[in-house]
Amino acid sequence: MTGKKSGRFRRIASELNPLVWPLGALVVLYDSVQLRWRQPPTPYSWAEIGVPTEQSLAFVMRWIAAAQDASPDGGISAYYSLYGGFGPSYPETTGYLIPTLIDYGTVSQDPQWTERAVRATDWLMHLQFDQGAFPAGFAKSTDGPSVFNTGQIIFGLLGTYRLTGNSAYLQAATRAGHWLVSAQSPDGCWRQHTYEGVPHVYYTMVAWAQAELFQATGDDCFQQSAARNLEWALSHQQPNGWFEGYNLGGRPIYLHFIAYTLQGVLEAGIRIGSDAALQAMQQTAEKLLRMFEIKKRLMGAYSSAGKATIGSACLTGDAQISIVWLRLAELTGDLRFLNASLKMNELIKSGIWYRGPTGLLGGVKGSDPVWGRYLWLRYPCWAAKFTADSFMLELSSLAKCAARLSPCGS
Amino acid sequence: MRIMILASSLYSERALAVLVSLCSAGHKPVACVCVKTIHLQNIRRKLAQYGWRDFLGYAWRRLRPPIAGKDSPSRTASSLFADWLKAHGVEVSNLSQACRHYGIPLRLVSDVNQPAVLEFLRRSNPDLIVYTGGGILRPPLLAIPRKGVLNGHAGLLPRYRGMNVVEWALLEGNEIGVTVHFIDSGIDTGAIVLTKAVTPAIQDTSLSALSQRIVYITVDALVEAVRQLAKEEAGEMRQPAGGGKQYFVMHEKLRSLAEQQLTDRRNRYSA
Repeated sequence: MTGKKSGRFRRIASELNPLVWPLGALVVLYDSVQLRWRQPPTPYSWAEIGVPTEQSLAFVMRWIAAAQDASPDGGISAYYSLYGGFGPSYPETTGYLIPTLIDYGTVSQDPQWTERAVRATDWLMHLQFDQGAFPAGFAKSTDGPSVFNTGQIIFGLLGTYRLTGNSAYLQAATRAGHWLVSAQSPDGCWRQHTYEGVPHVYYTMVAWAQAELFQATGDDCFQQSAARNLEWALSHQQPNGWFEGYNLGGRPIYLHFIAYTLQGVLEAGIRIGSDAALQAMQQTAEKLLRMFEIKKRLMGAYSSAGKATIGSACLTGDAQISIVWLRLAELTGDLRFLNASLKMNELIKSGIWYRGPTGLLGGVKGSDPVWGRYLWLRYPCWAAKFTADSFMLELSSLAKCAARLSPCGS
Repeated sequence: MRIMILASSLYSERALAVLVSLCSAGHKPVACVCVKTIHLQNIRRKLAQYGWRDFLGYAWRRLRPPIAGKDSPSRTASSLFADWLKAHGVEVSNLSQACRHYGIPLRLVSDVNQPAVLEFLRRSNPDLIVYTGGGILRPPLLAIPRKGVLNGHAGLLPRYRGMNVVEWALLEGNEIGVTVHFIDSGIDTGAIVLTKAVTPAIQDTSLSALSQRIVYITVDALVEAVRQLAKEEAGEMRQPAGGGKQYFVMHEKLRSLAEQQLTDRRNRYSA
């Protein structure tokens, strides 16, 4: 038995919940039957499953609310596992889930979502180290500072600052940003306090946070920090459009990380006005669009040569790529990106539970099928986050497109 | 000029219209190669294309009698096609009958790229093959006819390559039309023989109705291109490398916006 496998079984043994796993076994069985018989996506049939995007969005948000309610501290549970139920609160993903809660509050006009956002932010505020950083992992007392988590929590702090106008959140975000600047190497890469102690190209998500901080504070040091990291990341792009430097310790380069890189390059690039960044990521996004349109799905992981390396899908990555396409459709006016994301969102919707107990209801599985390698037998909160973001962006993009095309809009 | 036709099915209206139009214009094909309608490979391909559920639904819709007012124009198009055939003074309902009517040899095949089919094509020594369907053509087949393989594309090249390009052009607020071009190894990237713009007309009450009308406009354009090529009058325009965009199947939500665009445009033209 390999180390990874034994680690997986140790985790299952420690989390095994007799009230959860029998139902989980039924879900695995259902997924097996569905995988065998469900309609394959084809070039000629994009039959909608009959659930409008608004309704799917409401279900996904219900799952996120349940994940927060499952945590006693106000944070959002990392995942729901089919063998152990909801996991502990996860600072990193709670951080970037806060803007999703705030956005849905605006969409739904329901104050519970903004209240949830403030509650989650207040929990995060308690976790901040004196030097400004936030902890790695599940915020156990032994966890040291983490560059990536700090970056993602900045999104939450800034979101709640904009919502409430409370400067304490902005100050916390600024301290976090300054710590990130101090931890950054001169070439723009983050080498210390990183996942497994090595640099990662997908830390462009941290550059995006720094760029947001620059917009909120006007402090040039954050813009320079974002620009330097983008430059470092773009130096890892190959002529075929794919990036190198994920450094995931021999594990597959999941679509989730590829999408992180693209999202970071795109959003940081927009905020600091880097045309080179936009062009670079558009090349990769177009390549993914073509692969998706021809194969009708994206696989869960790819090699640096662009070849699929696992047989299951990574729904988190799917939703993130859908967001990237929707943003590109808005930026470039190329409706092929909107078209592809509509199809991708239909695929994601087809895997959501619209009936069932808390934990499954509205959850988005890590892998499709659920026993795929990425987040094996789990429904991560970040899959729900990116799916909800993608659905909200789809609704607004379609409304804008319809308004532009209507006789009064033209 | 020795012309051959490639067809996707004995019941292909497009293939039948091309064959009848070519014969009426005095360019009788020397042979017609048609993919068998029912054979294992075709069923497998359709299953892969549509998925089993849509495939069964499609088969059922084609086999049951049409319901007036309920079925889409493509299902009830037979009346439009029957009118078209009547206007050309022909009473045939499929390619087999048409070939018998005009005395054209018909060869039924399971795959147009099979070595035996290639051998048959080489022996027929065609100057030009008119493609009306039949799957992806491989380079050995494309190399056989002296002038090339001609295709009618329901979109204006080089801008609109790929699928659903009528819908895409409407959605993007651009001109719609058809292009006759030679097929090469790319997707709609071969040299252009002629293009023809199409203006939405009062009878184009839906995208399906417009697409149906465009089929016949494409057939006319193909016959015109054959006429020009036979008289060595055709100018061939090489497409710029990387020109235009490749489009893919349009999602229903965008299709409904394109449908709205068609209504607006039709109202503008008819006002």
